[in-house]
Amino acid sequence: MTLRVMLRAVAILIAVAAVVDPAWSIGRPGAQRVVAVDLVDGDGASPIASLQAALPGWEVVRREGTGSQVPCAPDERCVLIADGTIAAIPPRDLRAAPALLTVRNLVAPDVTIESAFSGTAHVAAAGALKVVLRRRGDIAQTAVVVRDGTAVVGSATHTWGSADSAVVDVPWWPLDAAARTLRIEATPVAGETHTVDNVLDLGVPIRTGRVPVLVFDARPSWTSTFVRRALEADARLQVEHRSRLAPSLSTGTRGAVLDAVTLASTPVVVVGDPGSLTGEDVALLNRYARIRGGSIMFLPERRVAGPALRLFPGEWSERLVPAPDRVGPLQAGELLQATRLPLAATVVASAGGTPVIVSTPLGNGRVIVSGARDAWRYRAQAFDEFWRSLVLEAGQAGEALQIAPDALLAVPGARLPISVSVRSFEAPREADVTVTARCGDAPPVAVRVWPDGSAGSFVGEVSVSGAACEIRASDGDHVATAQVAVTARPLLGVDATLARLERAVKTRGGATADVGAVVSLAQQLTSNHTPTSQVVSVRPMHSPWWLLAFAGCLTVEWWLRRRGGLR
Amino acid sequence: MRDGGLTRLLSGVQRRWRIRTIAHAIAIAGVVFALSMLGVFALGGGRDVAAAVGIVAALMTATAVVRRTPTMSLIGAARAIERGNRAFENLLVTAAELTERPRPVDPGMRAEILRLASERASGVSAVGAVPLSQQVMVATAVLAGCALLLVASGASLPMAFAGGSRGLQAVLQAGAFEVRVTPPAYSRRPAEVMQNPVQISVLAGSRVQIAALNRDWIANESEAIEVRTSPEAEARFLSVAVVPDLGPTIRIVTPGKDSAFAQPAGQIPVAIHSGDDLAMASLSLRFTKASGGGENVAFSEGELPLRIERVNDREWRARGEFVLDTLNLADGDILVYRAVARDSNPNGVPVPSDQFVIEIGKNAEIANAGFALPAEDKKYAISQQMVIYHTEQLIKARPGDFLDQSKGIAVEQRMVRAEVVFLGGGEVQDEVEEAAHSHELAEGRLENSGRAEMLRAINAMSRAEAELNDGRAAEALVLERLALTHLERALDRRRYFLRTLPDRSRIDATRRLTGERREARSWERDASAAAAPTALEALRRVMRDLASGAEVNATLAARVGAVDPASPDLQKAAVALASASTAAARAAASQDAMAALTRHALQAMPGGRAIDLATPPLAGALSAELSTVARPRQ
Repeated sequence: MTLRVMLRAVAILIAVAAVVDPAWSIGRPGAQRVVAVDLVDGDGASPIASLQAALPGWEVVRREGTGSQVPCAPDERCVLIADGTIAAIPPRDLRAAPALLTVRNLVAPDVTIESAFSGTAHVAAAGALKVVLRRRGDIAQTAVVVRDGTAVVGSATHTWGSADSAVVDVPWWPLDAAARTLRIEATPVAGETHTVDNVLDLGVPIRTGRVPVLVFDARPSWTSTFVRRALEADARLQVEHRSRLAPSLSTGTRGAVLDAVTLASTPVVVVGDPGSLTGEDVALLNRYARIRGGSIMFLPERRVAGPALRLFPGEWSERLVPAPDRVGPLQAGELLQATRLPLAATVVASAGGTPVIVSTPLGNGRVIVSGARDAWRYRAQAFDEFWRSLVLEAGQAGEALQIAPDALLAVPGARLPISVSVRSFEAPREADVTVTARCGDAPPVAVRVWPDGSAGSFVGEVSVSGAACEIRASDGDHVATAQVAVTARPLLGVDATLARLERAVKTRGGATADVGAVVSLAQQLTSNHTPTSQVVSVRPMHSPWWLLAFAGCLTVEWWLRRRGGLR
Repeated sequence: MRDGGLTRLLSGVQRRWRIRTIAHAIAIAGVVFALSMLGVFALGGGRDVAAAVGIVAALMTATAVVRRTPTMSLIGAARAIERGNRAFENLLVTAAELTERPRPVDPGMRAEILRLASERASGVSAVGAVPLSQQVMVATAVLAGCALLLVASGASLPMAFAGGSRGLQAVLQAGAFEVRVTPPAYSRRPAEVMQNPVQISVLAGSRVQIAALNRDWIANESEAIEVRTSPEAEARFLSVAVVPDLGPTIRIVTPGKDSAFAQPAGQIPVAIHSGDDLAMASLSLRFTKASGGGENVAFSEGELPLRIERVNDREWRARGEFVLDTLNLADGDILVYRAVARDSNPNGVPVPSDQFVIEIGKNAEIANAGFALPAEDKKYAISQQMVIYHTEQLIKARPGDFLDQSKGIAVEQRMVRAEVVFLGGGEVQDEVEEAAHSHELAEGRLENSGRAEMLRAINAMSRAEAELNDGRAAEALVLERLALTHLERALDRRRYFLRTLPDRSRIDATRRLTGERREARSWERDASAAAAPTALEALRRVMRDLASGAEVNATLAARVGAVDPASPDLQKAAVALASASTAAARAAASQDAMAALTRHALQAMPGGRAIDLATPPLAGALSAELSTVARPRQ
């Protein structure tokens, strides 16, 4: 009887406990687990297997990295296995420092595209790319092909000399007026095994309008005359001209005047014989560059003295050579060469290592000085192309209203930061900037921008989709556009991507190693690993054994009852 | 003809002639039938198609032979009889003529002639006049051979007609076509007929006929054509590349340089080589003698006899000899000579060689073998004066080939202009461009007025050349004289083209402070706006279609070729597209076409250079801060 009652009571207790489902927490040592994020476009199993072998007793979980961010949770310990083909960065909220395992198996012969740069491209003209190549091993020639989708839009062949690095100029042409995604390919040589670094994607915006240019000759000048002729023959530029013949006499196009009204809407001013500028001219140009953010291009024909000298960066000395010297793509025999240039100066062209054509930031704008005084004597096609390109770049940089996307190539779905700046002759004022973005065939959407702290500067974000986006900003009469190319899996350059990842990992205190040093990386991971206590919730009634106990109690109680003659 | 004997005889001869003609046609048609069948077999055609083609060809041949063979007249029949029987003594022919071509003859005489002819004809048979046995036997043998061939091939006639029509239909549906190219007559090249060509090269002026398109034109410009013989037929591509007729080349190889002699005595051998791509037509050596000096130069012209050796139609060599003693040259005289060649093209212009000078004078630096040239300025002026002289002579003579001679003088004017431009420094490459900037003369930008005079002279020469090319010699003469005036002004002042070194010190001091200051005004012009390159959109569309993997066919090939029919690169790419038959070949041709389009686009568009001027937003502020720090405080 007692046993039967006890069995029944136990069964009832089990049932009640199951209904109540009691729970409590206990502390346990943390699991030894690492997440290996595969950022290799292809087979990344081998390094993961090596990593697993180097971490005995650890659990290695593999994840595929595809988007713009590495798939790692804040609590997880991540090892990024990358070869530079997938551009993703680790999230900022990781608690444990990520590690980077780079997969590069560079065996000669090998050709790498290190980087590429595009000048301002226009729908009515051929574009120009500068592609930086590096070689390993004995390679005679490398062909570079530029594709827009599957269309071959440019090509060049580089014959290697003694240097292992080279900059190759590749002409190309735009297929449309929208931003282009150009794929630059260096043809692999026979026996090259690592070809992933032979490809690079580049986003290139395409301009359509004309850039206004004012050519102002403080005194009739040969150099500026021939530069002006080169500019006038180009449909991408709208050239106005004024030449001062005497204090009260001048000649040029109608309405071309060197004053604040004209300069407000002119992004670039070419000045012939700057030594003849008056103090008032110089003060106006100084304000134009510093405040308005315009570009000034000085074309001196003699040693510069007078008020304009204060706008010249560094020190300029004269050098005359009997035979013309090469100055970038130009030739000149009468040179002004620069020394003691400011830190931020950019050397556009030099002769024998000495800067001759220099661009220097001046306030919001810039001053470009050409010391190739008699380059017009040796003018050829390169003369025209050089000055047109330089003026276009200067014009682009000197626009009163500018939009600067964070990148020219984005992935669909990304939120792209942009900045908008408004420059004018007037003091900082309340700008009324409207920004819209249009991606693919979708209708334009408004983009919220807010001041970033400095006068006339705004920031915002654009949601990227489609094949290309056009961002349009307006401020009163000024309108500016920017374009962003969109592609699903951009190849931004193996070296650049790896460098970016390495920087991101190191700034978080993580370790980096080559795939050959996987053991060393594993040792660093284990040595840095601090055992942690893990709080675990325990629910005892979830165990299936309780069912057995419950059924057993009821069965034995039933058997005892039957044995006692009860039903 | 009253008597039936003569009529029967002549009719019998005519009937036999017709039978003979038919037998002859059957024999030729049988041969054509056999050849056509064998040809179709060789091209892989079926037996029924071969038989059908053979039958059609044979019928056409037979019809053509019968229609082209003249029928025999009564007179012809009479002559055939008399040819075999001299005894008639022209009696039958006379009777036949009186019958066939009645004329006013005495009736008695006429009746007597007919009677006699009938009498003599009664015993004559037509068999001898027109023998038939050989022709009939040949025709029979050929027919038997054809039948054998037909049986051996296994074709049945009904099937042949059915299969032939199907084959013909298939051929039409395949879009087959034929191009006939007839080169211009002067080229002496035979006409060519091509079946389904993809690319043809024709001489400029050739007649091109495409019957399937009903097109017939004289080809003067290259073209890319899509050929579609019927709406359901497959499109085919045809690139017609026009090759211009090159002008003759001519060179004076001996002496091949200017010469100077102290005395007008001795001989100067002259050797000339000339050639043409088709055929040479004429070769001569002309000279102009200049006597006197300054503006009083007197000219006289002549032609030196040449011994021409025709190596072949395209290459001629000539030799001659100047005998100075006979040319009445005096001290200071100059003899300018040049060879002139002309090819067989009637529209071509005479091509002169380089001109050389023989100078006579004690002042010649090296006698008899020398290299003493007249002073450059004198040479220019004399050359221009010579052009004027030639123009004056032309206007005076008004020859039949006035336009040709006028064009010849235009060539001389162009050469003088080129000499002036080139020897003056080559700065003036395009006087149109210079003219567009001629406002700079007014702006005082060209400090060297000698250059301005030179520019004006060159402009005048160009305009004179244009007038001469149009045959307006009188108008050209005015411009030639104007050019000479400017040239003399420029040279008299010893001013030449502005050389590359700017020399600001060269200022005419006498002009200082001589202007009227109150008259000075500013000057304004309209801004020039360059036009964007055209036809880029068509190029882009073709490129996008190629890149999108559009079907590679004749239509696409024609669009590639039509981008620039004069571009051999694009034509080659278009031909490769049209000829590609496999998927791999189409892909390769498509890639090649894209590369060709890219090369073409890069040539057509203005180029650029990648220049990086990007600076960080705060670079200017940093630069200013650093320069403030570096500058000593005051």
